[in-house]
Amino acid sequence: MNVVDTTKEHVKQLVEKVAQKVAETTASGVGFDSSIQAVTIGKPRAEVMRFFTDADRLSEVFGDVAEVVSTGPDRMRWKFTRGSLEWECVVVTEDDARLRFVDVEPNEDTGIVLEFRDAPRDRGTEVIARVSSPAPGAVTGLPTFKALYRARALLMTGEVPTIRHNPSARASDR
Amino acid sequence: MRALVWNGVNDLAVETVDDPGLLNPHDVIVAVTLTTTCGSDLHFIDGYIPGMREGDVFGHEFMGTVVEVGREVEKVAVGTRVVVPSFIACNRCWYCDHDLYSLCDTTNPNADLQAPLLGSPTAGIYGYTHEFGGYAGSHAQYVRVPFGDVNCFAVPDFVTDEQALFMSDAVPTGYMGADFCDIAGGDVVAVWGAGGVGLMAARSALLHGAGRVISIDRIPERLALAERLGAETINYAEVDSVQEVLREKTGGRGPDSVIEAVGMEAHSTGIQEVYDRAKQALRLETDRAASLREAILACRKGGVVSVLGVFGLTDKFPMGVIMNKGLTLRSAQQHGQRYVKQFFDYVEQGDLDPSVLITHDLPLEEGVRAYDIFKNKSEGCIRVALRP
Repeated sequence: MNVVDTTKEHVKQLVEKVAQKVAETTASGVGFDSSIQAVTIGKPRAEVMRFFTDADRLSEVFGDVAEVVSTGPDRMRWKFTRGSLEWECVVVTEDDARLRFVDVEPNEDTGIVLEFRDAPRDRGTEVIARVSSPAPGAVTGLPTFKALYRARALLMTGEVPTIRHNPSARASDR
Repeated sequence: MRALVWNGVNDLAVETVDDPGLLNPHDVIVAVTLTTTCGSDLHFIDGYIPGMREGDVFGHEFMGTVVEVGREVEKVAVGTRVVVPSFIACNRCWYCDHDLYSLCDTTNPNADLQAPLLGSPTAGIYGYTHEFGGYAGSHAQYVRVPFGDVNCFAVPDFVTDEQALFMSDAVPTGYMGADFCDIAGGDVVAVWGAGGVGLMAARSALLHGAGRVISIDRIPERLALAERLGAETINYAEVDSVQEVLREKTGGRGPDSVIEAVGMEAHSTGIQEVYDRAKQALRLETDRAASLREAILACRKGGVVSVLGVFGLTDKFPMGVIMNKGLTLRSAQQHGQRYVKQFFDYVEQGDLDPSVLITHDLPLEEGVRAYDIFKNKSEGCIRVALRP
């Protein structure tokens, strides 16, 4: 291989690497798995906030990562589906606009804050989730988005979209 | 039940899978009478679109008979003959309220897979990758239809099964593409691609009042069908320059609007074809967007570019042409629920007969051969209707 061919090959490899990086960056949706997630739900703020204080409803929408049970007034236990990790939290309602899920241990910073704003033009309620780092168990960015999406579906339609028991030619049910 | 499944790139099989069941209260189970091949399926069959899993039942364009309904289904009854748009709508969210059904905010079970790719998730669709919901597809004896009251349209007696079949996807996609063009009486509309969607776009442009429609393809039998539907045609493989022919046909103005109905695996000629195939092979781009580029270049100043083809990552996208010529770019996955009842009227009036797309009518058991014929455009194939 002469110098020209070698140079050509190096340039080709460089172009391929850059193009691959660009493609991966675009495809991975940089920043989507972030600690801040948001959806707009076409229901009144009081109804939406009530939903997120109901442990059974939280279990429905966080079902992949945790079962949520009420352990007392404004208190919940999150049992994560992987491992034996549990998280006990207190739910604090602030100004009819914010729910803070804070660790029962005062010295722990772990928690989730949900903010609720009236959306413009009668579009319902904007829900903004801010998850601490480290997150409570597996409640990180994308699972939080999925839960918010499911919450919207449940509030708007009465059901969560599902493909469990989906027919396929493989052993898994999905 | 028997179903046509995707087992890998260019690896299809007809296998026995579990029957679907009612999962949610608004679900309906439809016994599939007819289901059809679609060009967009070829993108994941060929491996250009990821997101399928081994064993997935695919297919998204179908009609059939309701055999089971969920406890909260009110309008759809067992025994009703129905056509079902390929994208799944809830009719409760903001997007459905605005007739943007394929953008439905609640029907994608895998929204968390798709949102990072698109910024926000679309509706779910039957049998078209897990990012688009992972729902089992229609190339099967039975299919579960969520929100049956919204997504099942009772087919009137004067519409045949074969006509209703394409109201699931090819007709609404083509019709929406013409709708995007804001056609004023007498406009000239050029349509790239004379497959099922392109042919329905051409017919729909005439139904919207276009004075002339020009279909562009390279397959003689497809161009012949376009002419039967009322279009003029250009065989791009037989002319030196499509741009030149279009300029000549429009007095140098270019078509008032252009519809791209080809997508990411466009064929073309000359150096552009070599360039795109090389880059696609090296995975430097997912798309061969030759027809899209050509449509944008051909469109008259201030015109509309209506994009119906399926694309992934396109490079060499001529944004400068769009900007400097003041073009309007419009695109969407089809909002079928918006249009289906209009199609029944068109059929009754004799203005539309989508069944002309069927060149092959085969049992589902021959699904693998059907896709081979369809993919290679052999035996004059335009669409295969499969009977489970």
